[in-house]
Amino acid sequence: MDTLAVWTIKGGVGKTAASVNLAHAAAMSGIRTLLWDLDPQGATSYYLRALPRLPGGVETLLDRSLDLIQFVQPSEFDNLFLLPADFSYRHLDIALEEGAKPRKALAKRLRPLTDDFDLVLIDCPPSVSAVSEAVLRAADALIVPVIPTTLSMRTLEQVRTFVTTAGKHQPTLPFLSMVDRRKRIHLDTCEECLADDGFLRTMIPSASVVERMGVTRAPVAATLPSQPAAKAFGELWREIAERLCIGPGMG
Amino acid sequence: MPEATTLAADDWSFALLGNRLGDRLEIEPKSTLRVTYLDTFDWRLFNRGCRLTCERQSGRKTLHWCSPSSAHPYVLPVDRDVHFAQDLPDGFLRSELVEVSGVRALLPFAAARVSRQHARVLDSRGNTVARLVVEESTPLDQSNRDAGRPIRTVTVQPIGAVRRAHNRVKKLLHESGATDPPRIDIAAAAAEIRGRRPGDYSSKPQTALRPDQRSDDVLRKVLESLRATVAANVDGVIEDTDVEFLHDLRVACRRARSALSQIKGVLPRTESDTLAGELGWLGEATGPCRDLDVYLLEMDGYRRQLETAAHEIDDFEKLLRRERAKALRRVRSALRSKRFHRLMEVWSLLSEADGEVSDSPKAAQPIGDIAGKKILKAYRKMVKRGARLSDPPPAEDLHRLRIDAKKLRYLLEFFGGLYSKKTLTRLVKELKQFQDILGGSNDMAVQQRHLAAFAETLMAEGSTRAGTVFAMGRLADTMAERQAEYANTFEERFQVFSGEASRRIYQRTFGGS
Repeated sequence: MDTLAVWTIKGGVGKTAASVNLAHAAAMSGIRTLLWDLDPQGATSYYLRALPRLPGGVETLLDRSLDLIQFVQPSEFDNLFLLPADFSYRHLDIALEEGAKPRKALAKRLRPLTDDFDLVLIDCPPSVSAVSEAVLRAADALIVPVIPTTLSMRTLEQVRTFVTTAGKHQPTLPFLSMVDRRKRIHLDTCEECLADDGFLRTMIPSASVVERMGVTRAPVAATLPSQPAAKAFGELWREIAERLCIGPGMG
Repeated sequence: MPEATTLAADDWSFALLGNRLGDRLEIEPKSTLRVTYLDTFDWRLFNRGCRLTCERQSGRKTLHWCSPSSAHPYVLPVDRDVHFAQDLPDGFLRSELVEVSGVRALLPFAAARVSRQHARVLDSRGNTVARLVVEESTPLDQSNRDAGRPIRTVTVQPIGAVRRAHNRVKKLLHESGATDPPRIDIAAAAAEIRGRRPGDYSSKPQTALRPDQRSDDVLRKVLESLRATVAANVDGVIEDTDVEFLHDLRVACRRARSALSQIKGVLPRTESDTLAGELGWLGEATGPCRDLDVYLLEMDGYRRQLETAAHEIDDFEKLLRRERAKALRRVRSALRSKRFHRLMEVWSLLSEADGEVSDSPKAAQPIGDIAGKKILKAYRKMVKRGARLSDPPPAEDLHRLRIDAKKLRYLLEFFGGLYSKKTLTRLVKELKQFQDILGGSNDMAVQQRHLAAFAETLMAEGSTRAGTVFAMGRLADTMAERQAEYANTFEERFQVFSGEASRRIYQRTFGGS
């Protein structure tokens, strides 16, 4: 089982859209995928038409006597399952700090799910906190959305520094998100970013179909598969899978 | 996680449900697809409660896997037809399928044209409570033409975690005309069109017996079951669908020979002798191909043993494949020969229910009187021979004991239906474990000899590298070690097989008192 975290410090960069669309693309390629919505806002759960509620909230999340599989929900899509958010996750930082070995807590919760899923994709809240540290411990790689702007680039540097100090030297894969080709600054920054080999090559365009996910409440590829944004998410997933050797490779 | 439920929907439509749910029912457009149902020839998937289908829709092909251990179907897109589990990429489905189907080919046994429509049931917040899949499946014949009455079902896939809501959807479906459960399974209905029935083949003799049945009657039934097994496997051998067709065919022939030689004087002698002789011929004609299949099946294991030198046996594998192609040609020619057809005719005549009756008094004897005595005699013979062996025993002695063990095993299989299933299962399991030692030892001895012969052939061809011969030598050494290990564990296994507990069970079950 591979665990990927979609994480960045900055909000509003297309993190949740990426989580849902990448998880959907992975599932469609035959990977048994669990999308774990750790963001108390519950937008991922909303996009998948699920109630953002975990019975028992944070206590359930951290109670090792309860197997998380019993709270996993099937989604409308083949091979895609959801561990929904709960508003109580806003207290997850405090709950983690109060428990023993807070950095290992989430990794330990995932361990019993190894046989049930090939991939766990965590949609993290945009912050630097105890939750981020625990996610860093659990994740085999980080997927970092970056809007091609100066501030977003600065955030990426902060993310990389944080991963170096708090992570476990796992790959950090930034990708260009919400790219608006009409903007000069975007084009210039994209060029600068792609000069960095660490960046994933696929760019996700700024597109109204992605914004409309709030209305359709489904991954873009499920409603408008021929749209460039849908294809871009599919391509981005293939690139991630290839870099991280996540199968299956057929289809 | 909640599981899906399928209901019969002959008299059900979205209209009534829509009246109840209003805008909380979202119906998607219909789509049409072709579904092919796959299983091994001996129904390994069906027997384990699994189902594998291949769906084709608008040029897209997906495999759908359901098993008792997972609540939700697994779906894998594929870009080509899959004939063996091993054709799949590494991953969940491959490991599940390899475990269930082994080396057997995945064959289409039925197909259907499916008109499918999805709908979602929402709660008041717009969250999905359930997904409905309405399907109208029409069985297709071999030429993919509609053949048979369509079967209509509605499947409820619970989404989310609110069980109360799921139950409410099921109740609404019932109220709108769906019935539970569906009367006909589409896979079974579609298989019937092609003359198949899930579970209709097993390589084991399938004979219902009563102890008061005449011996000749029972022996005919056993022989008929074995003849049917051979007949069922001929096409698969000729087409080389997978290696188990030849194996099953050969085992059925061996069983038949064993039945004829162990239960003598029950069927007319001339025909029995003719059949036994011809089965010997068929065994010899097909043996080399099976031996080569065994080596080729072992190639992955050989390569693992050789680790970094794995590539050194590439030439060896090429030789095996060349030899196997030749051996298969001989098998095909044997199975297409007049001699084989005559053999099958004799077999058929001999096993016919109203065939010629032997005037031997044994023929009319109740099978209950004969079977137990034969089994007990075969068991005692093994115990006696085994007790005389030195520790560790020489390979030739183990080989003789191995033949005795096969005879006992066949008797237990032929006449198992006369005894308690639980007892038989235990005895067969115990015997099988003992046979693993005997067979393993023999295989290792034979394989070492063959390996040396193959190495000589390669050297005689002149193009072989020293590394290949050296690697084959290493394999032979490992085989010798394993042969010794088998011999060393003989005593321990024999003690279990011949121990007081087993003897008592054999005596009690087959001793008649």
